[in-house]
Amino acid sequence: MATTTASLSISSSDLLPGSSLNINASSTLMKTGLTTGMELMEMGNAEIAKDYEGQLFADGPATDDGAYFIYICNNSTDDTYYIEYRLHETAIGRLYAGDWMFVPYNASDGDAEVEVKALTGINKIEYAMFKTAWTLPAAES
Amino acid sequence: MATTLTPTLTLNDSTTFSSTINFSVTDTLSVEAPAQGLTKVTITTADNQELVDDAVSGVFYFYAKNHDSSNFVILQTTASQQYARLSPGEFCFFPINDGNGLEARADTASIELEYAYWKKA
Repeated sequence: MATTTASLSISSSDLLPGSSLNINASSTLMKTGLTTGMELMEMGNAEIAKDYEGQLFADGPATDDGAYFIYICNNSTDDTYYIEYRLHETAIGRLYAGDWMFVPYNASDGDAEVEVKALTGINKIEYAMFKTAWTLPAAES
Repeated sequence: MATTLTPTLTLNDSTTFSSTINFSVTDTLSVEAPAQGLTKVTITTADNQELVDDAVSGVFYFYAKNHDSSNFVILQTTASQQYARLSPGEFCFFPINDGNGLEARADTASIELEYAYWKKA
């Protein structure tokens, strides 16, 4: 059985006076439902230059309301560099140099493509999507 | 005063592919007030419940975990653009854009959501 485990820890020694913060969470990535692990993964890295705006993951072949997980990390080292992470032209958040995100993704309809836009510099990003299902393009006749 | 937050993500899989997946990424974030400490709330199906106020300016780092055993919860901007569906036991960590806010709505039945957020300094 496919068993992909995602674990998160968030810690801080100075956020709370007299007490350190330690959050730990872990889950096994499952397809829609709670019993079948994920077996499809798309990953890669890219350089995204200032003013570039485009799709990182297209929404077309995805299964509506299926379970997907997205990981994106901005590996840039210049702290003035950042990208915007967008869902169908809605800016969700900014990933500055060194920042990463991990979030379930709901391909809820035909307008849920994942986009990135670089606001400054040439950003080096790495990304992965764990997928419930994927439809291969139709063969050329 | 800015303080430091260190989030670390680890992905591990030794059973699915011929090659083992095992990687870890960490970050050092500088955060400041306002912040929401670790909190558990009951999210109902009745309405969208705003957890991050879109009227409060700033970029927020948001963490959430669905503690329910069978039902999922929808996370979305206050303009109803979905961030994600958190299935039972799942978690997320991501930055929220300035002015987007975040609200939650249970889909099938009430769920218990653990969450926290911190403002980027």
